[in-house]
Amino acid sequence: MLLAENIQVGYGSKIVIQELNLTIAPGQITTFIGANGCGKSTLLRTLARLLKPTAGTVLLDGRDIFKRSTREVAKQLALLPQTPYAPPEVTVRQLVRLGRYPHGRWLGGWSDRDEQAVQEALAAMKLTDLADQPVDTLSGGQRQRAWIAMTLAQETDLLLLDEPTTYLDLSHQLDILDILRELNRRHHKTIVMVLHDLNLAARYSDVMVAVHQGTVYTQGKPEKVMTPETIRAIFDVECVVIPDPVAGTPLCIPIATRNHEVGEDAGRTQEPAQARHALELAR
Amino acid sequence: MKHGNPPSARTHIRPAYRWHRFTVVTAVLVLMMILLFIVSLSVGETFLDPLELTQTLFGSTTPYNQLMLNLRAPRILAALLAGCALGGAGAILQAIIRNPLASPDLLGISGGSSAAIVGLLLLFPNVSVHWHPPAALLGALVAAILIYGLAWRKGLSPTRLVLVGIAIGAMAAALTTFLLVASAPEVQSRAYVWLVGSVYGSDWPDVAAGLPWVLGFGLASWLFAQHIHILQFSDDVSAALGARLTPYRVIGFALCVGLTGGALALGGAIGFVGLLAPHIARMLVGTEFGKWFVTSALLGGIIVMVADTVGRTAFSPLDVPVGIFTSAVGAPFFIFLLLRGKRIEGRSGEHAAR
Amino acid sequence: MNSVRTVNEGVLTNRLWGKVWILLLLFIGVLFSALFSVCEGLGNSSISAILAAALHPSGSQLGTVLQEVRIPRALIGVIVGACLGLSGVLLQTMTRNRLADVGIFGLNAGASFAVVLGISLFGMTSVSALTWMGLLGSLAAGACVYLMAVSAPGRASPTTITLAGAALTMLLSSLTHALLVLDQPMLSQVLFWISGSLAGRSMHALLVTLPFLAAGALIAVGMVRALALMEFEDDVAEGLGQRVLWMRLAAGLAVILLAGGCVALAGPVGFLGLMTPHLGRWLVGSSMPWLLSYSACLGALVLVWADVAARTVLQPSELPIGVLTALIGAPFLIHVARRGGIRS
Repeated sequence: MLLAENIQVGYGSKIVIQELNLTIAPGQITTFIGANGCGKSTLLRTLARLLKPTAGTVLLDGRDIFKRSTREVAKQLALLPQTPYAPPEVTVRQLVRLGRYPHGRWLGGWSDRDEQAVQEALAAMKLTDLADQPVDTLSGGQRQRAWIAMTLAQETDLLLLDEPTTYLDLSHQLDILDILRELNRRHHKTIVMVLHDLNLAARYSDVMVAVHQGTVYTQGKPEKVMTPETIRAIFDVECVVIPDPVAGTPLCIPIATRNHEVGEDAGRTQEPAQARHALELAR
Repeated sequence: MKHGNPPSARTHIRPAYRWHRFTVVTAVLVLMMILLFIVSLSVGETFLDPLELTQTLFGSTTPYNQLMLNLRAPRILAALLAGCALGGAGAILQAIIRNPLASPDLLGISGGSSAAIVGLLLLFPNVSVHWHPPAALLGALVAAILIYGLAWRKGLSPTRLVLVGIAIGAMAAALTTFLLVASAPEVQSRAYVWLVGSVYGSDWPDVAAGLPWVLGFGLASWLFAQHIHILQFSDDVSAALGARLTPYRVIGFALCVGLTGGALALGGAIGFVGLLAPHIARMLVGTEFGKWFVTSALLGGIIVMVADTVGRTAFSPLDVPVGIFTSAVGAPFFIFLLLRGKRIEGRSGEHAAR
Repeated sequence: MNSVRTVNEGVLTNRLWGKVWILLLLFIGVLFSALFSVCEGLGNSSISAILAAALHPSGSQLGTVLQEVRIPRALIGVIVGACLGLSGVLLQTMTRNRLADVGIFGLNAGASFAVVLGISLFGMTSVSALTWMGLLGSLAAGACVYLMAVSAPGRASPTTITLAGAALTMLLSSLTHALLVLDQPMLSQVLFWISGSLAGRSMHALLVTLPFLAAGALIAVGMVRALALMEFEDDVAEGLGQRVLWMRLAAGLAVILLAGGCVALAGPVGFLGLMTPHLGRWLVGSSMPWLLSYSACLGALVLVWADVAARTVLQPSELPIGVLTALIGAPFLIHVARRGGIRS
């Protein structure tokens, strides 16, 4: 049971999350959606105790997550960051073994139980045959599976993932999401993730949380959250929502940004500005 | 957790570690070390019969006893220990900085030791060798704290650490030069021998002074291996797994400083070993830190021992300092690594691109 | 992003006449400092007597001292300081590393090695021969670093160049130490040289190196516009029609000529090239023509005064000037590192 109580989070003087309350439903797949910079990744990292809120707190099983030993927390809650890094020589097996770190004893001894968890995680991610390959040599989808296997070896009830499908092509996105759903349905893991693709989020989530300007705009079943009104409010995009012809979940068809200029400029201003500046200097 | 285990593969459990490769590598290295030690003992101005030497090692008295035990053996042991310490220190540094080009000498930690030792020689020319390790350690510590403190800006960027380290190294070199200029000629030449990296004239007290530092810090590093191991992954990964990043990094850095100080007290500023040994070790056994550390230490010891033996014998009667050989081999190797290029940058956990 | 922020932040930025006046002031300051350096410690001789002796040196002891010792020394201080200031700007700009310094890039170590080699292997003794050796050594080391940096295709990033330089420095200084250890009597003889000093440098040595320094300075001045672009990412510069490779090549050549000449003249003088671009940037921002001229003047000023201090502080013995500049430069290093002037 993970919940955020009235948290406020910021980097330096910049406040990213304000007065946010959220309860993660056990046994469900919860997805955070929202615009760039709305604070959804920050929220996920705060829930995983990587960021300490300036006010409020996060409770795990009713206890303050920041007052518990971080290794104890790691036995209950696993996080897969957005672009995790491992040294190039590390093999899949070595990566998965890392998941046993919080369970380790002082001198890093290795028990049958540890080995079993690693084997099971490898098998569940269909990586047993690739176990001795360096992670660096795997394809994007395989690599992501290896990282998920690492979190599985942690044997936690809670699994938090920050954009697990970034950089993957469509088939691998579906593959990863199917795996996550399987982990949820068959192994009863509570999954919390950040996703950019609204339609996939709607298809695979039990609960969607729309984050807007550092707080929860609305949450609930995808049908309740994926409405033209919500999309307009949090993305500034006009859209129609129809039922997904395959899954029956809501499907968002964008029409146009409401403020065309702002929408287009937001992503691209950086380089031309630099170039302009450079030109001025050279003159 | 009770229901969290996938049911498959529960039946067959494979052996815990893939000990195999590591075991073979270690065995070969240890064997090499022993053999080279004996070879090293026997060659020199007077050639000693290895067979009789081995007998001497096991207790029977031969005429070689004196020469061997009091001249060559301590020197070889000093080289061996210094090399082991440098190899281990290099592995620690490369792990916590996540950069295969880091080494105690390039990052100015050795420079701090050098300045401290030269200062010690200048101020107290007659001080006992037992003060060398603490002095070297103190110098390394000051340099390390400076580097760490200056590179810290809301966390540590490996790139910043490298650049600040190089700059601190340059400062330490300037300070060393100042101390040299200020001192008397005989201190100058003693200090110079030390600066090049040399085990010339090491005797049993030298070895005894350095040994506890190297062994102590080496053992501590090995016990701490799992925590250093996890620092090689990006910060989010290790923090999520329950590692306490800053304390572990500080401890790792301190261990590296301790080993570097010990090595420098024994053999002076022997260059590039802290870079070379971890690199080869990494190719042999990968980066699982416990294995990497042990292999790197063994390799470092072998490299310095061989280099010193060559320096002692190849150009006889000249006794070429060991540091020259390691630099002459190490620098081209380093440059090769640099040019191969792929792994130098973007290896930090901070970078966003894949 | 960072590059935009660091542009134009000098305290004198928006006042053209302010910049001109301060530059003029600096220039006059350099002249007076040089004059002071010439006159300092000449006992009770009046300025007019010194001037007279300098203009008509024939015969008098004072005249000889001035012509043989004082004037060359002050002149070399000014020139070396200015050239190090210029080379610092070039180097920091081309590597986009605010901690770059010729000392870190192996040039000083190369020169030291060559000089020690010259003494020990070829038995050279004359200052001009050693100057040539120093020049060759630093040119070779600079070329080495440069070739290493460019021959890694597409990867000549600032960090790579810095690391290449650091490795080369380590190798060369270890070789230097080796020669000195094997030839102990030489040690005390060259130690002073390899720690940087303006003592005992002749006019002849200056004349030998002057063409190199002048060529380097000319290149630097000639590529002022291109330098401004080097502050930016290569892609941006390429996009604006700048040939990045040629630009780097020219800047690298200029740095090697300038720094090589300096180290041949004065031995390794560290941190000056690190420090003056920062002072200059603080005053006039990173507008290139101003930065170059300010950095050059400041370099000359600092070095002349460092030299005066080096010979007076511990009288009668003399401090190596490289040590002094390192002492002055250290706070700058700390400042830069803390402000995070490194773009990775």
